[in-house]
Amino acid sequence: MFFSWFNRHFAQQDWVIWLRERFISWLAKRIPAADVVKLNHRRIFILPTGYGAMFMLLASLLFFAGISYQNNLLLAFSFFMVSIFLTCILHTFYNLSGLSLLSVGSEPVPAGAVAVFNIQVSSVGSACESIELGFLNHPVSSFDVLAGENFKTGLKYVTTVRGRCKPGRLYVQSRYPFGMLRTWSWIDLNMSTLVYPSPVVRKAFATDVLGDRTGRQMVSVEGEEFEGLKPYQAGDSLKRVNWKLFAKTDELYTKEYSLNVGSSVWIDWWSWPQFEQEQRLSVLTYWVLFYAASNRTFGLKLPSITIEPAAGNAQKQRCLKQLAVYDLPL
Amino acid sequence: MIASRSKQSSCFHLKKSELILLLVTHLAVVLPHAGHLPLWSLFLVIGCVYWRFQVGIGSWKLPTKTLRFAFVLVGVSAVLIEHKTIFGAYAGVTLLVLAFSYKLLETYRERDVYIVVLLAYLVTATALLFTQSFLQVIYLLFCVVLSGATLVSLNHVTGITALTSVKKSASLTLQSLPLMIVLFMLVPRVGPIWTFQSDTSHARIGLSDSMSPGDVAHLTKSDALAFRAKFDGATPPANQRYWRALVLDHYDGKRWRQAEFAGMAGDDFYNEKWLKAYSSLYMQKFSQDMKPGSEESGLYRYNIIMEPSDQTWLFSLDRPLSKTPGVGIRETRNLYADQPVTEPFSYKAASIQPELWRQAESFSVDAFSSRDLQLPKNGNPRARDWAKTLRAESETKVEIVEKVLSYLRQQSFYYTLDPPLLTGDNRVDEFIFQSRKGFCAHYAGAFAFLMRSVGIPARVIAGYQGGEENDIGSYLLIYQFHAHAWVEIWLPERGWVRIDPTAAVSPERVELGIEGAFGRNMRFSGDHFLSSWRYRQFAWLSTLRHGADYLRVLWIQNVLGYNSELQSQLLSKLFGSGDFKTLIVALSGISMLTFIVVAAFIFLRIRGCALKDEQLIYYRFCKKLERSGIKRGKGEGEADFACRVARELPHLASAAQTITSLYATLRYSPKFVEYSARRRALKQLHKMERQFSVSDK
Repeated sequence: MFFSWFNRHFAQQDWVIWLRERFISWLAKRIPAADVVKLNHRRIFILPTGYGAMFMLLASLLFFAGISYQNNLLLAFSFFMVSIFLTCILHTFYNLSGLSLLSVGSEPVPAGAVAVFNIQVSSVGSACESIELGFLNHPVSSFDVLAGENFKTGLKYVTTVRGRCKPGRLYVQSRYPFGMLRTWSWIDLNMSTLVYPSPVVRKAFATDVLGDRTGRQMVSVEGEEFEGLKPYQAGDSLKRVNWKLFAKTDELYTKEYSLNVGSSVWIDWWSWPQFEQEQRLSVLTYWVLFYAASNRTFGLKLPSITIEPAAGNAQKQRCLKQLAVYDLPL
Repeated sequence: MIASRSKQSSCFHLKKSELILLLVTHLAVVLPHAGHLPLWSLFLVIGCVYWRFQVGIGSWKLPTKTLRFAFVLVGVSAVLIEHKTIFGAYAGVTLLVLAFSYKLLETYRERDVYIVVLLAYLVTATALLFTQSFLQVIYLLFCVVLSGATLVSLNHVTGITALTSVKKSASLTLQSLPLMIVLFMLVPRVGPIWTFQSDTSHARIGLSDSMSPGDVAHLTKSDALAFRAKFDGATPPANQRYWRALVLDHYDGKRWRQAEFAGMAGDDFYNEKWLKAYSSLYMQKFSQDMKPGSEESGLYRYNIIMEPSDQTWLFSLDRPLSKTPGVGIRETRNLYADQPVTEPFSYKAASIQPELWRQAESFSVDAFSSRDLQLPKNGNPRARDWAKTLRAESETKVEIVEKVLSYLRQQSFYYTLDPPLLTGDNRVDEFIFQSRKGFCAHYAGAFAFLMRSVGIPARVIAGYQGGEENDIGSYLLIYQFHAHAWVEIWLPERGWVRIDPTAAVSPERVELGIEGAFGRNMRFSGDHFLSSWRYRQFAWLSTLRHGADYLRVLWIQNVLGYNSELQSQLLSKLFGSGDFKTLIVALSGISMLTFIVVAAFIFLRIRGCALKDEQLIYYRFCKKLERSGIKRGKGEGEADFACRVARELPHLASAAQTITSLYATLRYSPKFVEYSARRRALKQLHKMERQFSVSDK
């Protein structure tokens, strides 16, 4: 409640921004980025929640009531509440400490999609209950970890632009057991994922530019070989109908082409001069994904780099990576 | 694994265990108040709980805003009608409980549920304003555990059973006890910043400040405890245990009452002067005797631990002085408290032993006033005439007294708990010359009347006589049925002298106590039929009763009565000095130390759980085999070991195999992430391991 009010009124103030930057740089020193982070007293913060503050307020009210009524048990009750609060600090802290987090990679995603960062959570010494894990302003993953147990959880992060996406620090927090204190940490697991341009479909490409007078798509010309005929079905391209046979038999047959795995395709930056850079990258991405999905051999030509034709997942990753980081400072 | 909970929905959805805990906690914390809450409010509480339960299982909806407003209106006006106010302890608690229950019907967000739990702590605490018994405190501890369990289940993001929440909360609560005790003992006690008058609107049984002949007899039907007296050193013999409480020095023809309450108060100046003289006279004696252990005292030093009476008068032997703060003394030499005694109260007093009265006193502090001769103008002509005849026949005042007492002794007067009712205008006449059956109040009243009618200053003393000895704590228990009334007359040369006319009629009353005077014929009011005093003929029950009362005394003195004085005594005992600096150092040092110890304890406990259940069970399994000579080698896999066991002990092959495979599944298979499945498998493994036995039979 306080934070939302604070954010509404002060978030854009200079001194708040300055403070935040100081905090971030301090955090970078205090909890440096690492592939595995084990939470300990150096990395854990703990503060009372609003409820904890109210609880202590009630305790102090009861203290004054106990004094005023000269009621020893009322005093004892207020001390009891204080004592519970203090014991809670220990429990809340121990609950989070000993938790280990390890980044176990993520799949590349197109820009604008939700990237899932996989994290392996384990607890060395003791059980950690009611842990919440997530990126700021993103969905939270809640779980318990039994002692010695480990399991994987995926954290969602919404990407915006292509490039190498670093989601930054993630928070891990818990209010267990009484909700009077919140213990948390901001940790940086060196996570990053590749965000390639979001694919854009541009099918009829480059016929004019390449001067293919046959009017047939490049796809058919270069990548496929005539294999045979099959009865015409609605939706088949009329260009592929074997008209000679129609003249003889009065029946429509469509010429079938098979994919020739051996032959290679070039996906060429220069094929789409009418598009701007980003849009062109999106189209190229589409074709990379298309050929990779149809298991073809393809190469990629970019102004900066040329990737020789190859097939398979590695080729796809290679191409996507180049498309993702094209013209971006590394 | 991933719990989602919609926090924006119109009604905050509580999981089953949360709902159960919340409602059980609610009822549990209201229960200690049930005795002093009006009945209708209890119905409201149950209604609210039931409503919330129906909402929780999805049958009903929470009330609308208008409806809730109407509820509040009804509640507040009902409190106003019931208590005529919304302030004070009783009305305040009723309002608090109502607000607490209404809040249940307003749990739209998670925050509202937290507020309900916070109110639960407050309701629990307010119960301490009404009862402070040890059992009550134990019950309140349970309430605190329940409130905590509600918090645990609210904060557990993946769901947890109610029982597990209670366990978690109980362990946390118990772990906070040591620190609480340290804080209780060592936080400096400061005086009240402002004081509240406690609510005394509820009647209690006990003496009242006026006495008509039937009143004390009524008290003897009660076996409630009035107070306890613990003597430090000399104990007065049974026939000297006259506990003075009230001096009734005004007679209106029907009742004896305290003069100041009858509008005849002596002026304050006189009281002040008297008090000065009285204390300075006694102070010399007291100051050398207040040190405990001084042999040659001539004083009875005692500690009175009284039960709440809601009155200001206190109990003491004659010629008392008390230095306990809040205790004062009147010129009639009876102690009183600054405020009505609404909680168990303990004070120290010392009284001069009767043999030394004369040598310690002078007339300046032992005078009588005109009040002590006051009588109504008319009434009881026969008694007046008879008294005058006696005076004419006697030479000294002592002789008159002797004659009246021997008259009481020789004529057929009866001491009875059920005397005939006297209703006329001449009650003293009626009693002396007709009915002749009476209880102590009759005798005392009549005797004082006779004395006053012949000019001997006299006053009726209401209090208690006797006391039952508690061997376990070596103190006296004085019950309401020990209530007694006697007379003090003022004689020249001797000052105020105690005369107990009842002793003339029934010497056993004083020598053996009221139990001796009436024996098995004593009857108590029906509502006390379970009281253990009734069954005093069983020795073990008496021992039990005395033991329980001793525990209560310890509780009252050391916990309820813990104050800065006891605190500095404790400090002196521990550190040799009881000043404020020591207190602060001790407080910070010891509480810090306690906190560290508790922290270490929790740490070890949590780390101790690192070996998981199935590992422990498997370890036991291996130990069993080891005892019969099959030792699992270092690095020998579980499956290999099981095969070896099967080879060497073929009859155990299948059991060993099952246990091993179950263990391996629990330990290494990822499918047991789910809690309940894991529990089931663990239980099975545990059972099998227990049945597993290597013996050849």
